[in-house]
Amino acid sequence: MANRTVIPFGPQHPVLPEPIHLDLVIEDEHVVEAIPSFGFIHRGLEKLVEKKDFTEFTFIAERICGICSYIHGMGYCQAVETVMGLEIPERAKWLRTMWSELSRIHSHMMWLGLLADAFGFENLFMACWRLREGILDVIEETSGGRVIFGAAKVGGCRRDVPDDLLARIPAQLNAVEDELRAITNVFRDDFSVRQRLCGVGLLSRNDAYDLGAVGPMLRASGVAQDSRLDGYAAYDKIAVEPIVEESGDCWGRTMVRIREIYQSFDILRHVLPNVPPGPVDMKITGAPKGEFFARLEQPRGEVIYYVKGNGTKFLDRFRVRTPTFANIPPLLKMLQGCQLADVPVIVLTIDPCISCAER
Amino acid sequence: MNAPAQTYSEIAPERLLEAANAQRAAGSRLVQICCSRLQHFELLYSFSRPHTIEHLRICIPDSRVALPSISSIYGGSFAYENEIHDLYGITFTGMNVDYQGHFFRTAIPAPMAVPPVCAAPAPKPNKPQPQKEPT
Amino acid sequence: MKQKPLTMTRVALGSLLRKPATVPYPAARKPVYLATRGHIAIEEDKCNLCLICDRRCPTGAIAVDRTGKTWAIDRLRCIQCNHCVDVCPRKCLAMENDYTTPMQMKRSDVVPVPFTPPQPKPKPAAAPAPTSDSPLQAKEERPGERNHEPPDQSSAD
Repeated sequence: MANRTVIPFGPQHPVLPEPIHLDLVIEDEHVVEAIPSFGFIHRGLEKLVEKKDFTEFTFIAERICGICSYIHGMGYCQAVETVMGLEIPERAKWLRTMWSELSRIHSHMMWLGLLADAFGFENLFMACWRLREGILDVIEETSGGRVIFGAAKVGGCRRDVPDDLLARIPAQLNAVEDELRAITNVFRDDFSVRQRLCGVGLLSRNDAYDLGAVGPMLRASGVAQDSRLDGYAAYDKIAVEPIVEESGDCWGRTMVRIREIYQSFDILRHVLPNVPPGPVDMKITGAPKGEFFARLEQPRGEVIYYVKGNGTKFLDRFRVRTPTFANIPPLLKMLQGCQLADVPVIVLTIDPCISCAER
Repeated sequence: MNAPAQTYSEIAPERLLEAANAQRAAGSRLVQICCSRLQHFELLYSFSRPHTIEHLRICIPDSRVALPSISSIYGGSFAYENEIHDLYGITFTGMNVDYQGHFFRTAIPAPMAVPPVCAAPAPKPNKPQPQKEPT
Repeated sequence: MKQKPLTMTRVALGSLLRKPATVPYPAARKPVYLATRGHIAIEEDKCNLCLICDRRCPTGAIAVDRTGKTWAIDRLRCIQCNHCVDVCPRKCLAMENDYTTPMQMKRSDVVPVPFTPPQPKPKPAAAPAPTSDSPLQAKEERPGERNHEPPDQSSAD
């Protein structure tokens, strides 16, 4: 039996953009076991809700994560609205859908770049991030912020988007989409990319389901689960087909995300001309009393917001179960038996966002 | 909105394993485990099948009550159980992966085990009524 | 599915021939949009030092000093959430769409506010004195006033 070595990996590591620490037990370049630990950036946001007015907590909820910020804010608002029995205006629902899909595109494009960086394809990384700027420009023009949208609000949206701007966005999106084709073709066809991704980090369908994987992880293993099918916001009026791959490896997860980008472009082309006129905001009175679990689909997967109100301005409990947290057990499963050189790629394919996971 | 129906049911801590086994047999997925510190500790286990979400509520009076781990039934539950152990100080017996309190490296042990600080709103301070003529 | 070598060549060649995607920052700036949340500006003539922005700011970036008659904002703490603009009763705050220049040391931008509270009219002594309609008089003094002085130490770099 070969000697076992423990290699500490992270929280500061060139290929790991997130502060997670993994103790990798290595035997002949193969990982036998990976032991994670968190807590480097635990901020106690869930406890902070007890001291903040529930409407003003939206600002904190939006800043749980820098990349999926909008859906965090929107999910919190949606949970509070359901507890309070509010039905937000139709236009607000459609605008929320638009911003959710924009944030999905920009998150996935950022992730594609990071993945390219993880397997050492610097040029591809730069190309992805240059194109992502086109989406960030659309986000900034509509919401005012590049990644922190600041547009979510209990009872609707904080700002309206003028109709002429909504009419202009599809052309901008089409331009990004055309350029993106060349880059996603590289991910799909390139010899060296496929050498690094195909067959790496296999996760079987049963393991994915049992270990509670969510989002592209689960769908790449062949389970058609997508929370957008629940029909929150305006998704009940849009046909969303979960994108499923059967291979269950890193390449499958890449393909799921790439196809989701194009799906989001399609959804946006349907949403933008159909945003109904009307108010985007409603007055809220009273305070939430009761509890609710809101379930939304983030770029990284299914996210859960639990809100428990006691009838005062201060909530008793706010919990976020972020997709990254749910994807940690499958990640440990995938790391068992992989090559040491594949560890960065496998960690990247869960699209880790540890600052979300720790709150 | 065709959101799945959500049901809440309260069960005794002893019946947790039995209930989890029943969920597993029904083909449910473990969605999350959430602990809330109210005046007591409240744990919510959420299981989902297509079109339903079921929440099992377990109330325990204080954090010294040990709960059975469901990680023998749902292998991925160890992440939630270790998180609850590290943040709330509740012990789970029989976890398949036990970090012994080193999963979340918090500066204070069990930082979220203190009851809510603002459970009731502070009474609004009355506007100062000038009693005398302003000089 | 087929594998192809050198699929990146077209993308890379395109990048070589294209103009740079970045702008040389201090010389040229990225255009801002109408909606861009850049920085908070105040019309000090309209401000009545009501303290609402100070209290409602989620990060505590705004400090209003009623005795010194100043309105101050710590730009490094401000998160451009626009909440102060929403809650300002006199509509004297605005979100400008350009960014402030980077600072070389930590300091607050202090704006003097030329506001004089209206003198309450003299009332007959028998009648109970009503609460003044000026928020300045109606609000209680905040228990812990923040330090409004800019920190005197400059950062090392």
